[in-house]
Amino acid sequence: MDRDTGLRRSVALTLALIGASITGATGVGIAAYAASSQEATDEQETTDQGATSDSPAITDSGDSDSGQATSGGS
Amino acid sequence: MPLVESLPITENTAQWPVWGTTARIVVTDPRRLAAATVLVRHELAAVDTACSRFRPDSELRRACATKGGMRVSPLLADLVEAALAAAEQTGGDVDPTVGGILAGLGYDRDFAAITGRPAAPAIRVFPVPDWRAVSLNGDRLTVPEGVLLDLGATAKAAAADRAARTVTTRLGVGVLVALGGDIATAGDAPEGGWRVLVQDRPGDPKCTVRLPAGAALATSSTQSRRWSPGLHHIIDPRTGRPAPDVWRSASVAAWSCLAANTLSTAALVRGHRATAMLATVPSRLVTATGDVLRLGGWPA
Repeated sequence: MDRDTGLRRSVALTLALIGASITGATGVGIAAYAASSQEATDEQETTDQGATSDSPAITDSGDSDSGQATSGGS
Repeated sequence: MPLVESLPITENTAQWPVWGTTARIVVTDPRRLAAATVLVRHELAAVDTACSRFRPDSELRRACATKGGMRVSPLLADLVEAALAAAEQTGGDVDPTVGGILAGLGYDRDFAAITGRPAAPAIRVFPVPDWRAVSLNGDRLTVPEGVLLDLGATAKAAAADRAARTVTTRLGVGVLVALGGDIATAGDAPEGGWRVLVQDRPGDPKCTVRLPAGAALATSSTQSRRWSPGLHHIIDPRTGRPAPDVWRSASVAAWSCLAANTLSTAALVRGHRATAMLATVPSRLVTATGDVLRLGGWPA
């Protein structure tokens, strides 16, 4: 996904969520997002919002099959 | 079912079953692993004795059954204080007074013992959850009659924080403590940071992130700890029902596991409104259809 495509999707998602909060139709945001997504087989999307300074900066490990521990629902 | 840890166990790793999930610790110096394991087991046992909802002899159960309140240990006071703070911070989305609802829905014993049981009856009576009715004044805890506290949403995360701090303080070693989805770290991190695989259920989207020293990560799920169709352990206090499956899971990074878990749990309860709450917090939401939203600087 190139930068322009990513930006368009982020803008579309943001607008959809704002619209959902105004109208109360809370399903609109996700429906709009899902409609703009390609077939989901792995992680595909992100927003451009940044972390606040009092949050830890986490980084991508570069792989998706390893780690020292797993964080999953429990 | 809860998380099943499938990552390999190395010379600096130990793990064992606890609270219907898996406890796992990783230390930066394998020579300290045995001592660290003893400390973590001791910490978890103390938390269990203090606040288990499933043990009739726990301090929490006795406090809930004592009219007019009772003095409690510093540990239970800390855990209740954390639960009430989480409730206040989330506007009541994470409410410790849902214990009666969970029990009424069939989650009335350790999760490993309830899987496969028939669903609870459809008509149930329980007190309306309201964390503000619980009073903690110093070491005196007063719980309204008929209310059963469930500290599960916060106590496990707080236990991870406590255990990690204890290991580092006592042994001077870097440590990661994972209790299912709740991960706390303390002391020095390995070079490049702690590597954590983030994945709820097998087949769900996954990624591996690196946490800096002292960071924490929590994942909450509407798919884990299901004991009957439609029944899981994340309760919306306003409806008395399990939260809708808007998100399969929510993962949040913070400087304490308690803070991370508070937000990840609240995200599941809030559903679509969670994105506003998490906009500036490193977080990852997996939708019911498996799409991934990354917020607050969560890496792509």
